[in-house]
Amino acid sequence: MKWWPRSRARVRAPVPLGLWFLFGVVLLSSMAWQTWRYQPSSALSTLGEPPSAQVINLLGLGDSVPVVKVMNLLLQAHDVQPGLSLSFRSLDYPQITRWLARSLELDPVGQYPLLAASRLYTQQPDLVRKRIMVDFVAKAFEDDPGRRWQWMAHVAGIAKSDLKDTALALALSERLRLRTEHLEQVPAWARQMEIFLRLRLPPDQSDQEIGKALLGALIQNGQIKDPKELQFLIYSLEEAEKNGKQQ
Amino acid sequence: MKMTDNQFQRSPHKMRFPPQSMAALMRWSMLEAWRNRFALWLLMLIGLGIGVSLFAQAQAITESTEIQIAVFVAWVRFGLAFIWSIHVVQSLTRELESGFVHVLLAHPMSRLEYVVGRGLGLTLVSQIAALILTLVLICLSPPAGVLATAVWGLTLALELLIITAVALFFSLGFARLLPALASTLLFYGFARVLETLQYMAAHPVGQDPNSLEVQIGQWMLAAVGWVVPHLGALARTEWLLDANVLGQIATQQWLTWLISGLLASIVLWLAAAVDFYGHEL
Repeated sequence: MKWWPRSRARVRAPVPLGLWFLFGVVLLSSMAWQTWRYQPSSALSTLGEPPSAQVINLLGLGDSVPVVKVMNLLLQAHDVQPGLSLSFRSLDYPQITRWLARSLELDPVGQYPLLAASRLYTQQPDLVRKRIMVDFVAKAFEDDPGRRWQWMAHVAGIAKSDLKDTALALALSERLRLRTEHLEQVPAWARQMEIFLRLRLPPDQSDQEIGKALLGALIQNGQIKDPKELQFLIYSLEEAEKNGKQQ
Repeated sequence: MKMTDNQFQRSPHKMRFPPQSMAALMRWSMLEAWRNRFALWLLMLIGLGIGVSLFAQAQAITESTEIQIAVFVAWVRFGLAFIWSIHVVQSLTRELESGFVHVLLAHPMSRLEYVVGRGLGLTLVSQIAALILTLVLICLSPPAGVLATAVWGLTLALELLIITAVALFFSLGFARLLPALASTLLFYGFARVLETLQYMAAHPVGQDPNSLEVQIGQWMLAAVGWVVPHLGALARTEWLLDANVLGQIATQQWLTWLISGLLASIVLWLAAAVDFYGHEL
């Protein structure tokens, strides 16, 4: 590299061949040992309580947002592993909501915890746990309806289709309408979801149909901009469809 | 204007050397950064940052751009502070230990000129590094847009200005690599978390907030806050993720940060000069 400044020419003394050979053997042995020894494991220890806001701030040297973003990924990695349904069953949902709440507290603009709560942690059959997540999203929605309306719309759909709790679904969609009436960024279909749930959905409408309808509306309105999110949602919907057909 | 002989005899060095000597020191600082391969370290830092942030992005199921930017920014900001501190401390302490500073001061140049010339040169390099990093960040298209990224870059430049002044102060004070580097990095870490520490001291858990120990802790941290700048307020990640966040910061607040940063740097430069005059060379 002629363009790169060199303070002095490097003169290397000849290295004994035996030393090169020994180095090569030890290096290859080390690599072989690591390959043999390395076993990817999905069995993780218990999650524990989330760190306090101050600890997260200290960890980020005063800038908590990057730590929170990484925390979201770690929380997700704790759950999304081989044996998905088993993993979700073994999770402590109230504890997870505390992690998600801490994340929202320090990064209120972030959408990750709400997506995880409404779309990831509701992908399991236990209705009690689904309800914990629905309640979490409904509570978080009240703090910032302008940014969190789509998650509220989704959990209203879950309340109707999964929990079969029409009263809760209507209550959530009513809150959605009341809190977003004057917000321009919220599309009309979301504000009118209450009517949609009251009138248009027959009681036996499948989860996939509700999911499709909501996802279709979100895509049509250009609300999902992140390609990874779109990919995840389409994949989730396809999986749900496959499971539905198998049943 | 014709110069008389008398004028030359009265202040020959002041007429010829102060501007040239400081300019020479600035050029020397830039050349030294180039020869020390600081640019290569910066490129490696950026390359690794992009790799790490792409890995984080690949794990995400939403907010993939936000996660990439947040991880990249955290990586390069702390990484740059780290390698820059090492560069400044290593350059200055090597100069003192090798005796090259004697050669420099043998020229008609005061110690103040040396401190200011070296400080300006190193600051200039740090500002170029901040500019390069900001341009790379703009290429990664943060959601908040180019203007927010430029503002972020300006505060990063201010942060580097302060780190340079801190490293200058400790390097000339200790004249040894290890204590100077350790002190600079400790100062940086402390300045970044000072606000959190002050908050923790003001809201103690399980203790009486009016007790003497708690009060002393609060006073001590308040006293430290008079000297140590609040670096935690600068170059914040959330500015790059949402344009509205930046708009909520009042102009007065920007001015406060700017003046605090500049004042802290000038105080540290002068402290370094005062201390350097007291050294026996």
